[in-house]
Amino acid sequence: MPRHPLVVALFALPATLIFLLFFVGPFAYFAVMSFWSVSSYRISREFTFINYIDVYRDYFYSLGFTFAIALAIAVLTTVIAFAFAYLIRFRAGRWGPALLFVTLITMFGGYLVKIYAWRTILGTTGILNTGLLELGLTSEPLPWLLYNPGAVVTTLTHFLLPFSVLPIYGSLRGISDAQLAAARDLGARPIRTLLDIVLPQCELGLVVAFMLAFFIAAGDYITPRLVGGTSTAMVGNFVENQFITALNAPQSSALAVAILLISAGTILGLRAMLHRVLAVR
Amino acid sequence: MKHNRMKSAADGLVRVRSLVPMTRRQMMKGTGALGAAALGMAASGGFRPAHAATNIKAMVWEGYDAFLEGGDFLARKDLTLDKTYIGAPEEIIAKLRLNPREVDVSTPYFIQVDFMAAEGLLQPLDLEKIPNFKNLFPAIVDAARGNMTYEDQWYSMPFTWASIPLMYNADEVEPMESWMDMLRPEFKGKSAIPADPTSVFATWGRVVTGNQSPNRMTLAELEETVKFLIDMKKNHLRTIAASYGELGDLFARKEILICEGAEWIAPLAGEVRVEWSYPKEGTMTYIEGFSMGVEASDPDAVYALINNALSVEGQVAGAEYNGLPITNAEALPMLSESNRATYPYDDIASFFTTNLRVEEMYLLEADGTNATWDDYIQGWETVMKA
Amino acid sequence: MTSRSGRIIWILFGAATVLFMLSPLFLLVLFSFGRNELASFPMRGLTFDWYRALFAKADFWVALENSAYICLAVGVTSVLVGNLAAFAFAGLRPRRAAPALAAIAMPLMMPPLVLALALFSTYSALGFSLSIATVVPGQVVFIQPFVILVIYSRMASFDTAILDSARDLGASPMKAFLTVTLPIISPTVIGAGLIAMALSLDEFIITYYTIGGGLTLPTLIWGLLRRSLDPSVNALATLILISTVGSTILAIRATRYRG
Repeated sequence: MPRHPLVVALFALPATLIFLLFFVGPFAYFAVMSFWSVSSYRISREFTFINYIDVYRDYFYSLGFTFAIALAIAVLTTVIAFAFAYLIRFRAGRWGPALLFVTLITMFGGYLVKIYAWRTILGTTGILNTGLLELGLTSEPLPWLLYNPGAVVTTLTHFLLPFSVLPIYGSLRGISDAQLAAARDLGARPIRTLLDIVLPQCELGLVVAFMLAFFIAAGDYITPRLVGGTSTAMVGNFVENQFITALNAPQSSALAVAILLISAGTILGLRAMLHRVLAVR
Repeated sequence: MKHNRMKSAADGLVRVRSLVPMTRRQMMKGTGALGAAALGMAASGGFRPAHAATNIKAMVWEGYDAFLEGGDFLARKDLTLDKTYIGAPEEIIAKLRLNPREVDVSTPYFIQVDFMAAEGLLQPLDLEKIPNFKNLFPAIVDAARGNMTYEDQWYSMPFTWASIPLMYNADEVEPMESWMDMLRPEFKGKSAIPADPTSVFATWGRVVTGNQSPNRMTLAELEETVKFLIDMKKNHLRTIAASYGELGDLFARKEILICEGAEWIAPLAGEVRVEWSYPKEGTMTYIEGFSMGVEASDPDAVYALINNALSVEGQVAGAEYNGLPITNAEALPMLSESNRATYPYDDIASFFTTNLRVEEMYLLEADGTNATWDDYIQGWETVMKA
Repeated sequence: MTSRSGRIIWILFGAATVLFMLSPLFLLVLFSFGRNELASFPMRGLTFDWYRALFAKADFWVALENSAYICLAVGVTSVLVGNLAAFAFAGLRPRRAAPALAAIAMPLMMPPLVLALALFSTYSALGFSLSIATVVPGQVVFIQPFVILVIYSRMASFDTAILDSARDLGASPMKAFLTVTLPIISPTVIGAGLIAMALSLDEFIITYYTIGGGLTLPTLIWGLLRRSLDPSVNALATLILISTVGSTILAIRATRYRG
């Protein structure tokens, strides 16, 4: 690993340049637009805060809904991903590579195609309902499996799970079996071993897994459109609708800035919380 | 209105100029800045030559390219289409405004064509270069004129048309006479509408307010319609379908029994027999056209493509692929039996007049009483948010 | 909890998770061979018709070619660039690495749509002409954080004592890297590369707004949604899966990866 500051800087340079040129620059330009306004379907460059007032007035609920559902998905995904990564690393033995392999291929297949596959499973005439009817567990198909927020959570959790398992598994690999054996020999109960040895060492993997799941879920707006039913419009829908349909790039931009701020706030809060939880012991 | 177009060009210039200092600043951030750009570009740029003069950028609904490519036009003329399939017609406006060179030929929503022409986004079409125009059904030309011409010039060439009728599962549902039948208790959780605000307002605005020009509702009427749609969404609909084709899929999977849809989705429902009726309150009709972008790279090639879309081969290929009707009268004998049975070719004129209406563009400027385009868009957002 | 009931719970959990992960994939493969127009049971027998339909589509070949170029360029670029950056950050003290990581992950903190619209607005304002070359940097800026985060989280738990002992035993930095560091992290690098390519193959919003004209596999599928998807899209997904499974097995073998 590079230690010399110059080498560190050199190694980080390409990624940093790509980041500055293709993210900071374009996003700064886009963000500047949030202080402009639109009249008669044209952008006028007079400085105004009106778009931010409108974000608060018109999109407060959508932002709340979006981040709440993203939070639910991220928590669910991270918990399952941690347990699964733990299983692969410590419990599965020779089955470990096979489970890892399953995780890797689950990433592929295509996002839109997977959404369609879930409709096949959850729909009124879907596989789950057909199975339940055949088994006599229900006499009518259950319509609530599809076209509600639960279907969005299921579909997105499935999509995000492999992306979350990998970083957690990556950090778990750094924990040696000897450490765990020592803890056990010293009489630590499994739960203490988990809390005091395993979790602190894979904190970073957990944070990464959570972040990935949270941001992708918060930014997604296609899944809710296809499986979410009538009342699951995410804030991404309105970023698009304002930019494209309403010809109102400034409003779209203000919404985007709000999303960025809320996301950054969530992550800072999460880190502070994790530090406190893990530092207490 | 002419000065409008100049204003738009000037605005574009200002926009570009205001960006130059920012770029310079970026470029000066490090001597390696250009290198980073090169890194990304070089990684892919080496694979392919920049597009040749005969590549035409087409921004169309999936399937409409079949009209442009009908026969073996592409092979014959050595033209290739660089396609972008749109998800909403306003994407064409956004792209033409920001980067007009990226759109040579497109399929804008017919109600927006005169707006786009006034904005200077489209080229007026020279009918001399589209000889097949003279073969179009006169009734289509008459119905399209209001939306597709601006200051007496054509900006879009009608290549197909149809309507947004009440669709239903004919195995389980009797023919319906009114849009309100969709709200019957037995269809609760078994009905749907498409995520197409124009057709939704045109259809339900008329039902709710009785206003026969639903694109010209007053603010109060619009609000009433929005309230109605929210109630319908919350208490009746299974879902709001992301696309019209998805409605066909919903019928096939027995998720719905009835919906606001389009004739061409019936075959997509597989074994479920889907039929439609034109309810007594009225039904919206539409006409689709091809337009040329204002900075089209090769106008003659675009003219040739549009003319091909109106030719007998182009019409038949596109109509059969999409399950949509034709506009060129000469293609009629070549059409499949089922296509001729689906659409009322013998009386197109009354299709566009009796209870079925081609809508006009929304009001653009607020006058205090009537709803503007923006009000309709915000109204749809209100429905989505509720 | 006795160790026996613990075992059973782990087996049940593992089986349930694998079922959850694989059943949609299994279905999409299954229905690519089914006669049914609609993905639903009962199956009406097997057919290769959907593959034939897919191969007969000229748009498919165009999209495949474009996607392959983009996926390869993005995969290679983001793994190279991301690896270097992950190394650099691993060389920093965690207190200083964290903000750097958070900064470079900012493109993930908003809907890809926003990045797409920002890039599209900027390219347009600068008068760039759009092509598949303009897609690549837009995808890399979004995908490199995944690579950096995955590799960095492996490096952070890397026991540097092994490296130090290799150096103490006289290995050059390059040799220590090749014989010690690389074998240990290579599974993670390969995993990161697969993630990068999976994301690139699947990315359609940034691609959609920055490609100008021309289809890629996801933008083609997106377009087909207008008429709803038929099983030829399943055939396409199956082909992607098969090639992925193949390359994953090869990668695991090549690195003598043992879990």
